[in-house]
Amino acid sequence: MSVDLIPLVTFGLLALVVAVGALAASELLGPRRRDPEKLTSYECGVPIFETAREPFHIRFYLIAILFILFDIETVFMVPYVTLFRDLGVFGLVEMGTFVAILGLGLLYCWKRGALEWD
Amino acid sequence: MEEFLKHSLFGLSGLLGVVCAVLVVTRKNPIYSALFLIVLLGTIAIDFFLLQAEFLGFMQLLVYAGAIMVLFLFVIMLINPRGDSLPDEGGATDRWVAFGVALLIFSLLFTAIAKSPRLKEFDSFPGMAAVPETVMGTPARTADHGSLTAFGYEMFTTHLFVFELTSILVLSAIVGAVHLSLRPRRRKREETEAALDSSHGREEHAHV
Repeated sequence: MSVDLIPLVTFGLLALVVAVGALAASELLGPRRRDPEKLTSYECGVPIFETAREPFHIRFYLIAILFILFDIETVFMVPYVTLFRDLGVFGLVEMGTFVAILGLGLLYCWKRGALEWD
Repeated sequence: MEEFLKHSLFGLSGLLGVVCAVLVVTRKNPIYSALFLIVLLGTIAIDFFLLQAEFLGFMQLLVYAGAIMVLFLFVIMLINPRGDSLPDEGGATDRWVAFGVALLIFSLLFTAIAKSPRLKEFDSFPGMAAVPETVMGTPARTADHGSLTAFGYEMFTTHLFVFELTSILVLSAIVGAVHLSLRPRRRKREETEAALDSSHGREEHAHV
C-alpha cells in the first residue's frame, strides 16, 4: 500500500497553521491583564490542597504491566487475522500454541489473585 | 514531488528524533526525559510509515509511545523524584564511560546494518522487496493489507520458532511481575488469616 503523501502533508501543514494561528491570534489580538492569582494552577476554582506528585500504590503498576503484556498478545493476533485463511490449520495450531502459553500466564495471575483488587 | 516530500519528511523526523534523543539524556528532571522519549518514539514511527511498514508504525505508537511510556511514567511517579532528592550526576569519568558504551553500540549496529545483505533490497524507499508475490496461492502484497500481510507471512512461516518463543518470554514477564509485586502482600494476608483462624478457634473453644 503506497501512502499518498501529498494530501497527508497538506493536512499536516494546515493543522499546524490552524493551531499556531489560533494561539498567535489570541496572543496578539486578545487583551492581556495578568495578575498572580490568574497564573496559579486551576483546580475546580478552589485553592490547591496538596501537590499532585503523590506516589501511588504499586497495585496500579501491576495492572498496567499485565495490560501491556496481554496487549502484546493482541498485537500478534492482528497479522494473523489477515492471514488465517491462507495459513489454515497450520496457522491455527501455531496461534493456538501461542494463546495457550499465554493462557497459562492468565491462569497464574488468576490463581495468585493478581486480578483481585484487595 | 512525492520523492522530495518523502525525503524532507524523513530529514525532518530524523532531525527531530536526534534532538529529542539528546534532550532525553541531558534533562535533569526524568519526567521531561520521558516526554521527550515519547516524541522520539513518534519520529521512529514516522520512519516506519515512510518505509511503508504501516503496521509497525502504528504498533510503535500504540505499544511504545502509548503503553510502555505509561509504565515509564508510572515508575518515575513511584520513585517520585523532586529537585532536591535527585541523585548527583556522575562525574567526568562516568560520562566518558557512558559515551564509550554508546559509541560501541552505535558502531556495532552500524556495522551490522552496513554489512547486511538485505541492504541491497532497500536501494530506494519502497521496501519489502524480499516478500514473495504470493503466499500459498494468494497475493502477498494486496492493495488492502500491504505490509501487514507481508509482515504476518514472514512471522508465521520463516520466524515461526521465534514467534512461539515470544509467548514464553511474555509468559515469564507475567509470572515475574505477579510474583515480585504480590509476594509480601500474600504473606501478610496469610498471617492475618492465620491470626483470625486462631482467634476463631479460641472463641469456639470458649463456647464449648
